Amino acid sequence: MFKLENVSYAYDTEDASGQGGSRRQALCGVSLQIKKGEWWAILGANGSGKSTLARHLNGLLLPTAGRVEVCGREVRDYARVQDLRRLVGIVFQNPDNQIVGNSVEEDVAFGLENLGTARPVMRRRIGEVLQMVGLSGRETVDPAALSGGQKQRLAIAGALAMQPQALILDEATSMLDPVGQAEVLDLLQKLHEDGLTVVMITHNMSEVLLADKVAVMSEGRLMMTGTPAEIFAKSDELQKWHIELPLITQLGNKLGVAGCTDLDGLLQKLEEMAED
Amino acid sequence: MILRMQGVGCKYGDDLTGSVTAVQGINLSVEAGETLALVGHTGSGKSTLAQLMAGLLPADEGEIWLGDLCLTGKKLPKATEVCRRVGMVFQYPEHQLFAETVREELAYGPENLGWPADRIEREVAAMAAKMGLADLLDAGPYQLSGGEQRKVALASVLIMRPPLLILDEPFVGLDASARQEFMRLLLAWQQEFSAAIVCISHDMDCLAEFCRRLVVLCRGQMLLDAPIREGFDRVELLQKSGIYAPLGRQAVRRLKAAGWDIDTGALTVDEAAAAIKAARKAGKAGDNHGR
Repeated sequence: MFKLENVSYAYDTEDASGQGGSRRQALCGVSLQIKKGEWWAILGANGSGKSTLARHLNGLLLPTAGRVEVCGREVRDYARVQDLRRLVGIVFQNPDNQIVGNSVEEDVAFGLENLGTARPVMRRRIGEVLQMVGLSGRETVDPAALSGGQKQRLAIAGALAMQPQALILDEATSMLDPVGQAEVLDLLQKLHEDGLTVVMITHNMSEVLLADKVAVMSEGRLMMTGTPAEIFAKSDELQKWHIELPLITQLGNKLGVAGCTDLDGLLQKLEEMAED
Repeated sequence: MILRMQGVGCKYGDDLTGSVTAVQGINLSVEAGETLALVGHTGSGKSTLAQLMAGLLPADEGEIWLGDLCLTGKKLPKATEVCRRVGMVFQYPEHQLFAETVREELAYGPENLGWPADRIEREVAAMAAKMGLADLLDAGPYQLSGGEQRKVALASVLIMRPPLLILDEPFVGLDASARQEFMRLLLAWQQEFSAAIVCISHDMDCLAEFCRRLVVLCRGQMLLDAPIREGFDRVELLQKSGIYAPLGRQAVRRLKAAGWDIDTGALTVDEAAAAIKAARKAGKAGDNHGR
């Protein structure tokens, strides 16, 4: 689905007087392959390059060096950037910044209208995606009246309407309450089962545990990849890169039980230790 | 008394198009030096309540007092009078930043409060030093990282020394070390000025480290107001509004339920680890293997 080869990216920065200034290196020689249908979590401290990396996956940013392939094709070779964006949807942290319609259905229709989709097809597609995200029956509601979780599901619906092959989520659940988070994560699990590739940037360690694979970023470099259990067994390295361990792993470490990823597992270990 | 709310209610919309009650019958008093966690499901009215406290939204019923200033009288109070008494840091601090440099950003509030220029200069320098922003005073806010932007947004409010500080999801998007530093700076500032802090968050583990009092909203009404350690004992009540206890509390409660002789007061991971170790030790001494 995605193939990154030695990708580097530097932001141009200006000082306050508007003078051209330094360049801030955000990505440094990142190589990564994400296969179709996989669920990846990208982990890293603030400023580690996670979001910059995500923005390379649908051409929002183009690498200053190296190459990015999406569905076997170099991103610069897509004649129209829309074609790339259709393949890869992206949902950001703040739903209010990505909702454009005056009603739920208008918002979902936005992308389709830009593509000149025929009306009956559009109607059907809107119905389907609203059903998928659990917003059926809310077609005429003003998006401003939705809860955070509903807004974020609407944003996902807008992306799904384009029938993408992959969905990128940049801290898309961080503003939601536990119920809203669970709603979005359940939805993602369902979409993932149906074959959608999911790439999720998150600080929430319990979300990382849902992923098939984890990529760890630090200072613009890709430090390691692996399954969540493999990653969290490496406490010392993660701490060096300012990545927090899941609380449950922290608690386990303090009690001499390494690599814990769930409370049931830890309690069972503690019981066994008590019986020995 | 820093804040007093009595019978406060607020609706959105009007009677023609149909209104939605956002909060209702809120009675809440906050004293100097308190740290209050305000929690509830999405749409429970937390943000509405915060905006009412900050004088950003008029109440439809009830009384709101910020110290000696009434927000709900016939005559609306002057904005500067409200700003002297309450500061708010919103969910997206980058939306609050607008000046060309960090220095101007920090000076903006004090200028509006009419502080003399030399005092502003002094206080800006002092606040920047305290927040670790001294080297960034001439940087544009958009050259900063997310964590730095958050600190600038916070500093621009703290510099006005509001007796009441309202934080809406302050920890979202910060990594572990940035979050720890943010909490440390806030608590140091609070101690210095004995301010009250109201903190809205969905992150019970962060709130457990930071706050001493727990207020739970559910469908616009106050469900619970208790010291935080006791509050998280009300398991069934909390579940009703979709709130989980911090991991530390969950762990010790589960062990207690499994028959361990363990203190269940822990909230944070450190406290839980200490309680579990103590229970093990006592168990060994009594030769019943931790039970």
